[in-house]
Amino acid sequence: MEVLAKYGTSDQQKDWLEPLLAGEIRSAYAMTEPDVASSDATNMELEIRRDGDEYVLNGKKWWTTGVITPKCKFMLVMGKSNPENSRHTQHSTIIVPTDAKGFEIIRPLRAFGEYHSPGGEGDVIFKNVRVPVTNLILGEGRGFEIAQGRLGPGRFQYAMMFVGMAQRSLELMCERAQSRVAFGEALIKKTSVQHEIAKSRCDIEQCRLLVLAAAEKMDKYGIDAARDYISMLKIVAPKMCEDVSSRAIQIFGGMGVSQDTPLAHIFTTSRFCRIADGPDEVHMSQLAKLTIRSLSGN
Amino acid sequence: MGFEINDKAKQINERLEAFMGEHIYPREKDYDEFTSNQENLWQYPDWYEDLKKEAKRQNLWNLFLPKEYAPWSPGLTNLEIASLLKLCLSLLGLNKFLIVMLLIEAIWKY
Repeated sequence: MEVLAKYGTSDQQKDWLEPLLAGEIRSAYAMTEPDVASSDATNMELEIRRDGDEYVLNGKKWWTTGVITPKCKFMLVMGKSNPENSRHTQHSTIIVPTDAKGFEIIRPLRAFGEYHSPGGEGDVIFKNVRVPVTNLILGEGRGFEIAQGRLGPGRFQYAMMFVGMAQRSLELMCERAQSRVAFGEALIKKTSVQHEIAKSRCDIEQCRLLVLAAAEKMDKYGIDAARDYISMLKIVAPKMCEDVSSRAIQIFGGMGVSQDTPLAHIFTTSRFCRIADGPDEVHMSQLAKLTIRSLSGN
Repeated sequence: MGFEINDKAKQINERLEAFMGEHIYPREKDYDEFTSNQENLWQYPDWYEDLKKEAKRQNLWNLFLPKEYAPWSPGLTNLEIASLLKLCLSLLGLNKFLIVMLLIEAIWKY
């Protein structure tokens, strides 16, 4: 959404962004590939080749989130269009409708055994998929620039989501600790349970303040200046939520892993998101570089 | 550095809270059961579209797009969005997550 709002032509915005914002259709972003280490996004191999007034796509993607539901009408696909260029200008981003000939969903993937229905996670293939050149976003070789730009507001809101999920886990954990009795006393009387609640409260509050700080920095100085904060959030938020929901599950016992609380979903989602959209390690390396750069004054 | 929640965000939070209480929380269980049922794979519950309309009617739609995304943005700053605690609490929008893609349709990847 943000990609089209920021970089799309007025035709692209009219055809794809407007129905998306109206909630009439859905979209997906196809970046990760099964055959290469996609944590290093420069590895991406899907080929985008120009042929007259069209681009021809050949390759594979997986973990394409949201692509399975029939409501998903198009994807933003990132692939290699200019292998002769320098490392970060070889890739482009292009709009591909899900009904394009040659595009096929091989299978829906399961994450921790779950289909993530209704959106779904796709294992997909592009075989000589042809789209008009006007579907290209921004220009050849600008895929990384687009990928960077899309990470701004989306990323801090993504962290808000983890704060929200963790807060909900904390509330559930507290209710359970007060109402459940084991070995002659309410769980809340046990020091270990008290400490889990206290640690969770601290973790959530730290992350919440980091979200607010990132948002404020973006408002005042723009996304580029807030890049370090956005990296921090990607590193901190999913892990924080994984830890808090895990503690909540432990206090709940069997009910915590069942469908009777949202905790199991919260836990698996936060774990999954430590890999999705770049694993923790990539963001930590990125943050280290930004930190060294700022300390050395450039 | 202070993060005072301004009146605009406070007022939206109140409206969000009412919306969540009336429309979202009571349906979470239903959404979870519906989407976990293999017979409903890749489908949304019937009431889902009506709920989107209701969110639009109450101007609680696309709140996540900050004002730099004019003309599509409802005009909030990033800090105001970050202050929407109720939105935050219910942003369990991920995939099958309890709901509320409504207000944030597709935040997740775009």
